[in-house]
Amino acid sequence: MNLKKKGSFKAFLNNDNTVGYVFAAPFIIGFCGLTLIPMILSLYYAFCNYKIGSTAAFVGLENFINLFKDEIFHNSIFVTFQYVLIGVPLKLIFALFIAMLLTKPTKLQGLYRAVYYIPSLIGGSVAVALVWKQLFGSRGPIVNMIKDMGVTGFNFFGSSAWAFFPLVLCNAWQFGSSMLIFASGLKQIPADYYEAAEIDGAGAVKRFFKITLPCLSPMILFNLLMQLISGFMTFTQAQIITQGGPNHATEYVSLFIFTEGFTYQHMGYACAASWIILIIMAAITGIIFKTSKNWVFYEADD
Amino acid sequence: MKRKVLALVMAGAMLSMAAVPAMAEETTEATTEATTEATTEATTEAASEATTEATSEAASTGATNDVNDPNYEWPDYSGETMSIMWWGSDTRHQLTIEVIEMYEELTGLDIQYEYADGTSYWTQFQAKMAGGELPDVFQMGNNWATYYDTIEPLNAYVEDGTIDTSAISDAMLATTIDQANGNITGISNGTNARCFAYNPAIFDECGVAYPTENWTWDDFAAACRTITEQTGNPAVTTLELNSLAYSVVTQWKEGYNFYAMDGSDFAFEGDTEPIAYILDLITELMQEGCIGDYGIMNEIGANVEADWIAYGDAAMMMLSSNQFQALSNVASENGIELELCTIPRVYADGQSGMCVRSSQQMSIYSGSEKKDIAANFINFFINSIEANKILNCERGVSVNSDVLDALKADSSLTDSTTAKVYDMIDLIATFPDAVNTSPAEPMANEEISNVLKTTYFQGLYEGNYADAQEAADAFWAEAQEIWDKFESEAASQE
Amino acid sequence: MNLKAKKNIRTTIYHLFVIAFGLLMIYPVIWMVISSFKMKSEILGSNAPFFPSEWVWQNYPDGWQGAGEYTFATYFKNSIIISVLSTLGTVISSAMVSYALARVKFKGRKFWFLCMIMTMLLPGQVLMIPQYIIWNNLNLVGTFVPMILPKFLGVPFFIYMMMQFIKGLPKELDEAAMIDGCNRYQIFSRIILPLLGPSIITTVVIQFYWVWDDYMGPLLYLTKPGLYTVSYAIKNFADVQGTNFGPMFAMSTLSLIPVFLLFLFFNRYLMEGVTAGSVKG
Repeated sequence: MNLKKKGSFKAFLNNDNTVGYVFAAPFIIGFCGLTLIPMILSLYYAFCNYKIGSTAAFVGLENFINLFKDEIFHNSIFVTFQYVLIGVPLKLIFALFIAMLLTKPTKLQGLYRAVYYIPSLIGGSVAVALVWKQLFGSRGPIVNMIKDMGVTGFNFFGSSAWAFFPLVLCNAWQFGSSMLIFASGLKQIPADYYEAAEIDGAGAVKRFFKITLPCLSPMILFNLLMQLISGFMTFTQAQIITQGGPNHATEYVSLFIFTEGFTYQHMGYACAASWIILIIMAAITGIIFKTSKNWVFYEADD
Repeated sequence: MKRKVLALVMAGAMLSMAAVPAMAEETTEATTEATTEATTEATTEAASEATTEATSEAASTGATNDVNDPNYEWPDYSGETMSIMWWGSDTRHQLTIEVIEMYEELTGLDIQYEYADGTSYWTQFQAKMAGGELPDVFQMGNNWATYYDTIEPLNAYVEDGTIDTSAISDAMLATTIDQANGNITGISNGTNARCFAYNPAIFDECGVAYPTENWTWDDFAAACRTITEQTGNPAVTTLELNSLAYSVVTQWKEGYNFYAMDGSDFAFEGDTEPIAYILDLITELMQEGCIGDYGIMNEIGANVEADWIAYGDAAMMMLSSNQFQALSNVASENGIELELCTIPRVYADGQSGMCVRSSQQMSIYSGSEKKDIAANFINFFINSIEANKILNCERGVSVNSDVLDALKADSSLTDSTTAKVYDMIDLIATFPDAVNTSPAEPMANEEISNVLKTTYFQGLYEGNYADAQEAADAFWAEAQEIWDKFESEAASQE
Repeated sequence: MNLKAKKNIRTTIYHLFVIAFGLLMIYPVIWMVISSFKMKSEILGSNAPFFPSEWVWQNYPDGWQGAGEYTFATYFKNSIIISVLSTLGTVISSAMVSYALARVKFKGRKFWFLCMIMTMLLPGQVLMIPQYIIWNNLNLVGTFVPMILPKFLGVPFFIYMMMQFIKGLPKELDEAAMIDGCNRYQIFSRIILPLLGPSIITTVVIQFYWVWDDYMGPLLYLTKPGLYTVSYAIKNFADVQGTNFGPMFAMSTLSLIPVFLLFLFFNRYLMEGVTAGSVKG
């Protein structure tokens, strides 16, 4: 009797559902305790007039209707897409290139990697903003080069069309985390795959496309998704380098949300904007997940 | 078996999900109720206590409320704590902490302080406001209307003398008073004025006369053109465009002001001509290269030390007078000596459009339980000569005339740079319209001024509008829309 | 030309390229380090020289001194405590959760996975204040807890990253272990966890500096100068009223050192793995 009970307890412990919930418990607790309530609150505020510190007044769809008419919001979505569509591929290609460049086992590999990693370490600090402003500033080396080519009066931070460019480069420059993830993904590729291919006479390019890319595809999916998300949420760089200017040209959605919520005191409006962003992002993420089945290759396919 | 367990787990998860928000709601409700109750109680109690204490003390010992009087009796606050927060530069943090330590030594009070830079401060402030736990004393700006509910009116403390205002002129006191109801929202830490700095060496070099006290926008434009022609650089690289526009509105016609003094409405009869005038002037000069374009302005940001004037490249800059010290420090390392001058006028014999305003103020949190201690601290912070010798008008020119006299008399504290700031503030105070041009900033101001700066000034520059008048009219329409939005929001929240 | 010489030339070109490109990459960092030895007037401005006309060492002691009663010794101590504990929490919790989501077929897996992805999609600016209120109601504002505890409850970025790695591990490993009599918990600790090595090190390196650089957390939750972190203290050097550039850059330079050393240390393991793998093959 006793034994049987013990056995069933053991079975219970090893049951898929028990194991799953035991291991997922930290996230579930964190999600219910720290994220769920704020999320529900923000959804509620999206339908309210709400200023931090005062009570929220329900106004129905008013915020969404106003957002629909708000040209600055439309613009912020547009410039965010521009930033993401140009910036994310650039950063990923760059990260993959460096990761592969630095897989060559030399004595200096550790140091090289560390050096290439430094830009990511200084993050969104004031120093980065100042250097970037100097590099791309009206009297900086890059504008001077453009001047030498005969184009006068050009200036990145003054041009609505070009102000995003230094920001995209700054983002791509901080490729460290993506590089590391690619590097550890590259490490997982069994060496015999390459050997077999070499014996078959496959060249470097062919090996890259036939072995490296497919084997790395889970990491590519991961980096792509994460960079898309963080690109959409980009905040610090735009805030410290361009302050959203000129003429809203770099006012990305999260900066728009911050300005509306904290500077202009329209938290309800900001929450409504956030949920629109969430829906857009969910759609994009969903599409990527759906298509990923065609190009992501897992060792252990379910 | 398997099913049962599963059902149990799911039920548990769902239960916890359902229960948590409900519980949280209850807690918040309970907390808010408790706080409001506590606040009202505390306020009435503190107020009556403070009055009785002050009267009885004054009667029994004949002590004074003048912190500079050697007979002043420091209260004994040992065992008590109080909290305070402010924003500012590294220099300000150091000076303020020094003064806090001085007060701790005199009274035995334990002060918990925290500080941030000027931008992050407001995020921090709003989080604390949402949590209902602001510090007892906090630094507040001219945007106090936005945070009105968190501010305790200081009238009772001023009336009973806990905060001694005998050496502060009514005009200075008025800079922090809500004109609508006479509430004292705080005591100014110092005054400043928006004005221009200029480099006389460049003016000499280009043969341009120095700005006079009542120079006009035409003089300004002519000076910019000559200087740029001769130096090849823009003459100005920083202009605070929104406040420039507000000044021009005031200069345009007597009685005009961008906002009414009590901040309850606009006050220029919807006359968009002055706005079109300044939009046109600035854009034209910018297109000619006489004023730095938006690229240059964005690079500099609001960072005075990065302005071209500090490196001998630009000839003028618009700034707040309390930024002059930091600017001069960099400029003098480069061998440049700068002067201050007034904002140009529309008519040489017309309104100045300038004002002496409170740069920021110390306010008491309405939910504080230490209001009398907080008031005593503010009294010390504003009035003590010893304390202000340390602070040395870094926040703005002291509003206390005794303090200011003592600082001016001390040559180790007043160098030529600070003297220039004092002179400028004195000069502006003589302008007849100076007292009528510093309205309370309504809550909508942040958004209106930003929209003016980015959408209309930059929009006109980039050719989004046919001419300045069209841009000004479009701005006026949007400003009214923003205003109405705030009104209706305020109404819906009541 | 023989093969060896050809190979040598190729190696040299490789190193030259990597070094030149690396220097270009870290130019802004070099600029920052050199600026930490400059006077204010030489840092910005059109004619600012690359090297200082006079090397100013005073920026370091000045910066170290901080604003009030606390020096950067305190701020470094705080940053290290927060970063180490947060990183530890991230590794433990994320490895667990990723195992559940990637390998265990439990009811509700898809739902929780969606919740996790959702968490990342909502702009943090709107969650900030409600989250602050929760911590405030728990009376934990003014402690390190709001910055550390959430990391023990799983960080979606790393959960998802580890999931990708786990999915890359052959399922036969689990099955073989199961036949050997391992239960699910033992499979996690004996098979999955060791094989997750590279991604755990990646997590450590990335999460450590993310926490180290974090500014919003300290701004909201650390309410006393005695609790401030390095990143927060550095930001306090800068304000529109005036910025102490020299000390700010000096302390920024110092704050890079711990993260850089950590990287060098852990990268060794990443490299060892690589060489071991290639030798074996």
